[in-house]
Amino acid sequence: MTEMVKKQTGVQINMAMRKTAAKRPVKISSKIKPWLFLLPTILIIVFWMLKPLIQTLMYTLYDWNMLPGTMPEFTGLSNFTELFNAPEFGSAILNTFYYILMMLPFAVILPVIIAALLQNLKPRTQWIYRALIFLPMIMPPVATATVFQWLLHQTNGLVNHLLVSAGFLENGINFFQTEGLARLMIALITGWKMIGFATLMFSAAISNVSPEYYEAAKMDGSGGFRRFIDITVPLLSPTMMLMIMMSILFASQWTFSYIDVLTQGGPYGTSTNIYYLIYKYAFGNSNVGVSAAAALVFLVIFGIIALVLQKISNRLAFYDN
Amino acid sequence: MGNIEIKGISKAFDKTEVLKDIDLNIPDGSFTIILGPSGCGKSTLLRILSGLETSDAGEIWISGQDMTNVEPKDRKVAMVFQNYALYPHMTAYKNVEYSLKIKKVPKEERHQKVMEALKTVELEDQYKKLPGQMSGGQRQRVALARAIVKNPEVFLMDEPLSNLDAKLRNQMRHSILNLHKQLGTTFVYVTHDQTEAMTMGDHIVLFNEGHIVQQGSPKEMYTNPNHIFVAGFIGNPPANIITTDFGYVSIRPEDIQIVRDLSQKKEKGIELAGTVNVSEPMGSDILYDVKTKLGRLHVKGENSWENIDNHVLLYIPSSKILYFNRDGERIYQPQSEEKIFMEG
Repeated sequence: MTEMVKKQTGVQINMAMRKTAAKRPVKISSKIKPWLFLLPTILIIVFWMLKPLIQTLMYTLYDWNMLPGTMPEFTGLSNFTELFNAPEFGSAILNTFYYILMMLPFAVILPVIIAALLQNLKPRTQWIYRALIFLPMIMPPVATATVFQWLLHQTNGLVNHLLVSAGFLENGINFFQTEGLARLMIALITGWKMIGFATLMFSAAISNVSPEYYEAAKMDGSGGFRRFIDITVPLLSPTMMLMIMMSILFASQWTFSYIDVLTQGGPYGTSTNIYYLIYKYAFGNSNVGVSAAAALVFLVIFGIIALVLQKISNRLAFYDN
Repeated sequence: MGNIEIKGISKAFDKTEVLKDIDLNIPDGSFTIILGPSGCGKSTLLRILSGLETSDAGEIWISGQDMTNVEPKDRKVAMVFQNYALYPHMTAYKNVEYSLKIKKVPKEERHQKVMEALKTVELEDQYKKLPGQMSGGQRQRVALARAIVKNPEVFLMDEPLSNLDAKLRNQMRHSILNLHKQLGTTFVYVTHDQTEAMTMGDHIVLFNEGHIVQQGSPKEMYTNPNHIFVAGFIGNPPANIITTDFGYVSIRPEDIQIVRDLSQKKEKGIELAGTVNVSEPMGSDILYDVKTKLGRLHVKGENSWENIDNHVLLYIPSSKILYFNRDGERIYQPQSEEKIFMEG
């Protein structure tokens, strides 16, 4: 009996030891495992976001022209003084907001109206119209800019030709070299590109609104315009918020190609924005320090915008049907 | 005041005829149920009454006025939708208030009317809530309040209880009936549920395939169907329908008695031997499925507990056996041919 007990306990102890031996590596790996899964993402963030960000912050304090063989030279805050004293800086900041504001009619107001009107058309007509209005979105920005350059050319452009031959003008307008007009044209072209995409987004959002709401409103005596204001618009507010965020992003990103091809920020820096300024300082003037300083300003401005938007969208209720 | 005359209404979607020349009078103050299986055209008729849908032919008269081409808002009707259709971004209060706001009713009067309507449906303390924060039953009550506040001459209800669970449906049934009693206006209530129809309506109009099969009081529809479709649709469980050479015979499960001793029965009737196939105890009574020479019959036994495979003797009073011809129409004076089938 005792022997058997001994044997049994011996076996048990043996098994218990094996169990712990088998458990230990599992325990360690369960600690490492999540990090292993996260590693690719962490590496990407560190090398493509964190490192450049820190480098950019560092360059704001240095003077460097990126030429091979030269070394960055520490200059303190002089890059910021240079940036703030640059003639284009003020208008670049103002234009950044100008482009954002000019995007709103094309990203929200007009698309909502167009999408609401489209709703009453036959399905096939709706699809043809949506396809047509979406076309600008898929055209490459530089090609678009070139086409508009032709169309709006002072002497040979179709637009000026029509305006002159119709008797509205004596001489063609130089759209891209006239103060005020240049940035307006860039805003309009960017808007033209934006409107189809936004219309599609709002069309999709409207078709998600239950037709019963409109029927209930009809029974309540609400007319077409009232129904649009009281039902369509509030129910589209989540999509509006999304489009506002996207248009803020695109107002800076998309305008870049048009500024670069059509005006290079001119005349006298009146059509430039902060996004273009960063590029110009770095790769036009080979002045990394000032460019980095401009990038930091850009970061701060957009950080503030993002915070404000978050506050607004937190306040907006998102209704599920 | 709130009576409705439907004159020769027809409606087709593409080439499918949904309503075929419907004539119907809905008396003022009645609780009229439009009943029928899905796809019978009942909802379309309600939508035509509301003005949300136009008819291809015919006229709608409400309170003695031709409303055929009148806008929904001017018809003095209010509608309660199947899925509530409450504006999701407005509170209960604002949902109820909306129609008054459009009518430009002064704010104080508006407030008084909205709170009154919410009180009628016992939701006066929930007025600040959004539809998303309410239960299904509460939402449907807000939808009722939204209809009440318009003080309509006719309430149109499109399967208002179909999205609620069974218990809530019972409660809401009572609430709606109370509301009808309280307001005394005309209610037109569309449903596919014959239990709802029997328990709520004082007038039932049964639709099938775009036309009216029969209309009358619940009792009349139950005891005196003029068509085999009515016998099969009304009643829970539905009547036993036996197909014969001359047409159909219908017998209600509750009219068949399980007897031990035939001498007790004074009324003239037929007797049938059978075997219990299935039994479904429902509490107060038991539903049997009994095999007989006429086929399988549903029998409602009140206080006899029979086991499966028991041999039972069934007794059916002659007066409870209804005969229908091949087209499904009722034969009111059954001739020897039919009687022989059953009794001989």
